[in-house]
Amino acid sequence: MELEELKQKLKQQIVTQLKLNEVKPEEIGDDEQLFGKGLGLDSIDALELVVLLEEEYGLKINHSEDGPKIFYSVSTIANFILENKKA
Amino acid sequence: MAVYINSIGQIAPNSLANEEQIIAGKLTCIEPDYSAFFDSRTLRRISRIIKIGTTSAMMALKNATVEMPDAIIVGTGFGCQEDTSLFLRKLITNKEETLNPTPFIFSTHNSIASQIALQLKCHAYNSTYSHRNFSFESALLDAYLLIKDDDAQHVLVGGVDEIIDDSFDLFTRIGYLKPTDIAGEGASFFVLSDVKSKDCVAELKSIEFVANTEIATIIDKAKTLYHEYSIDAIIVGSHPDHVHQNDQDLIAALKIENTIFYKQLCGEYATSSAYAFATANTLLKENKAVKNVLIYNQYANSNHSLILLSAC
Repeated sequence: MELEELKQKLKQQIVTQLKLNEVKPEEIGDDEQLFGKGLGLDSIDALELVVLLEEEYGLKINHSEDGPKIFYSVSTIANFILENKKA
Repeated sequence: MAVYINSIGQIAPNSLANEEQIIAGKLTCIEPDYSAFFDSRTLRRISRIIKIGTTSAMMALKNATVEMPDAIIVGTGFGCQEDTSLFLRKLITNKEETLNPTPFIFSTHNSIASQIALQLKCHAYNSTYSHRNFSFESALLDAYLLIKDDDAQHVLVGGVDEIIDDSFDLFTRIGYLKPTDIAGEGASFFVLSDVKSKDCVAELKSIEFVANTEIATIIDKAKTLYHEYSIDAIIVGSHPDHVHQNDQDLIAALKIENTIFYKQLCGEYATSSAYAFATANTLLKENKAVKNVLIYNQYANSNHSLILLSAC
């Protein structure tokens, strides 16, 4: 899957998984900060995203300290998926 | 010290329930727009029963003009079934791995009382009773004793249960719901206080519940209350088309003409006596000729409760 296609799919999955009923997937910027500022997600959402990565892409985050970098934005998640899928 | 019922907050099936509203044997709540009660983050995370329960609680507090109660007490027979069902289904589908945290966090029975406390930022006494068909009665007794013992002035107390497809199927299969029952749900919350508000019409006089006893024992208890309080109305759980033998016996023994059958309005559920408690309060408000109302609730001839409200 190409990067652009993956980012669009991820936005849809984030909205569905986190029940962001007031947000349209296309409103989420590729590089927009997901936690704290930006989309304003919190720690429970982070756990939901970990589950999303495992369920949908078969990927685990082995080092919890990598979490903030991986989940910074849609782009960083997409890059993590592509890099680790290739591996 | 008297225990006054200063307000009601309720989300329930339409009180004029008819055949069209009973869908596949279930009578479900008419729900409000919750956006006025929760921020968007909370709203997307909590399940329907937490919305129903917490919103009813907020309504009761608002109606009593009490900002911060001294205690929050919730009765729920089966708790947060939707989240429990979601979590258990994922447990099976995902072979006990990669489980979503949100349904797990909110699947516990005390999620409703906890959410109310979070909304209010209330650090006071917080308790949940989950004693099947005695859940509301247990919560109410706790509230009553807190006020009687002067441990609290304003107590928020309520009963809440939901019906979902999974539990409806299970309840039907194990016989918890009888063929003549209409499954119901709802949330009824109250602010009980040791001081009477200007809109208060009722006082909680007595609450008693007994398991595994004969109806004769209940009739004796009801007669004692009848002689002490001159009861002039009785609220029982049966549907008027299928009056349970216990209800027939009690009505005949007390010879009270003014009888209200309430489960035709809210359906059968573990905390339906909270709906009856609200109905009794409304009766005392709307019919000034009625001074003492007895609520008799029973489930499966084993869980009996008698609650007495008096006009004040």
